[in-house]
Amino acid sequence: MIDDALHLVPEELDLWLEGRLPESRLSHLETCDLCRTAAEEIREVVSHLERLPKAAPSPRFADLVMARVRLASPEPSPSAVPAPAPVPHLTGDDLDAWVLGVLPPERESHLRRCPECQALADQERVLVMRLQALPLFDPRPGLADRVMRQVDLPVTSLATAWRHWRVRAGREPRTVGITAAVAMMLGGSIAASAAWTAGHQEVITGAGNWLVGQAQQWWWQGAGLVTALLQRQPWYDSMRSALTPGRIAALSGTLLVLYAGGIMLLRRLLAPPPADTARALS
Amino acid sequence: MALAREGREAAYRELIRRYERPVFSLILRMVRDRQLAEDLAQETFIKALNAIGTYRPEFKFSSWIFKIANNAAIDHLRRRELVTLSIDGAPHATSAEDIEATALQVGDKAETPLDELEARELGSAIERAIGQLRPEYRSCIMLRHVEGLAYEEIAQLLDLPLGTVKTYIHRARHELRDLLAHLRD
Repeated sequence: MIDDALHLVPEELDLWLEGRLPESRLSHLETCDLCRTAAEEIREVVSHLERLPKAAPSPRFADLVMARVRLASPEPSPSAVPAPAPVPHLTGDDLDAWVLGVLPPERESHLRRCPECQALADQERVLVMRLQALPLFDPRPGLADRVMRQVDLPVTSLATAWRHWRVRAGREPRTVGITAAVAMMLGGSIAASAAWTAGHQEVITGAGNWLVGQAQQWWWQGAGLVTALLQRQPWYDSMRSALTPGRIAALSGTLLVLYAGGIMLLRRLLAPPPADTARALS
Repeated sequence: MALAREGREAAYRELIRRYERPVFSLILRMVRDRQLAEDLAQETFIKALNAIGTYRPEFKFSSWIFKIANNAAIDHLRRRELVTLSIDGAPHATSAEDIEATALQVGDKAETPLDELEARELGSAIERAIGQLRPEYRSCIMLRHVEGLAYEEIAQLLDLPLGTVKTYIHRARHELRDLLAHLRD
């Protein structure tokens, strides 16, 4: 006599389809008409499904499949003594594991004996299949164009700058015209300047000499003016007598030490903290 | 991604091409308004691509873009709640007609956002049931079962503890089973 509690569950039918059903369960399949019929039907459904064109299934797809899978559910035998359902029932995590085919054996055995959990698990699988079969929607055509109009492409090198310009110019012929006109104006003016310079070198040299002479004259006049102003100050004489060479050297040394100390302090303040300090602070 | 980080426009366009349907579908199922979903999807991509320099390659780009899309949708839904969930009408309503038009009718929250499009495009029983879930549940269930993300990824993406994500998804499935119970009869 065949024990109804040992009928193949849907996962085992999956394993059978993949040729991975354990020997012990294969022997049940060979002797149980109910399971064999269910298995053949499943194989027929799967083979039919595999022949379908690859398109999004209809929302009723899961119901159609599961309606046929349920045919394999074991009919309660009048002679079988209903086993008391062990507590607790399957949790949400268990149902997740069951849908993924990784339910631990002890929970699996509860599932086999608990009609309430079987019904829940069935509904869960149908629901998940229906969710997975939900279609994706298409936005209006041209989303990429609309997005790209508002995206600033990063310029990481001259090559990317050139590429961006080329792409933008390809999209906007007016840009090409304006850029070409500006480039011609710049190029023309540079060429004209070079040509004029080549023909008038004496004028350029004369103008350069005059500018250098003027600059030197302005420099010496400015220095003389500043010196005269300093000498007229009331504190000038006392400061001059106080600044002996030894004092100047000492003052310079002090300033140098203060500057070096300041730089070292700043470096220390700006340095990132060591890893353990950073961890302690975070 | 490497090419996109170099600023290649073709790479940007490829990213948009790959993710426009999943991102748009997620947002559409969240806000249930096609025009609005278009705008939010566009905003999502602009925000993501303009900030591509801050993208960290150790994470999946899909998780990053879904995070931005989900935030955009949730922000919108929160703003809409603020505007519409007043029994005295929206704050900007000044005339009697405006107040009446924007006032909350007790019991009609589930129907008001469902327009003609939903009746046609999101009209199946499961889409209607998804539309009745809380936004947090809706985004979790979409990311888990439509986009196929792992719980850990969803937790990271939504800045939620892993346990909360699991609870949301289990409760969402429980509610969906109840909402779809009539189909089993």
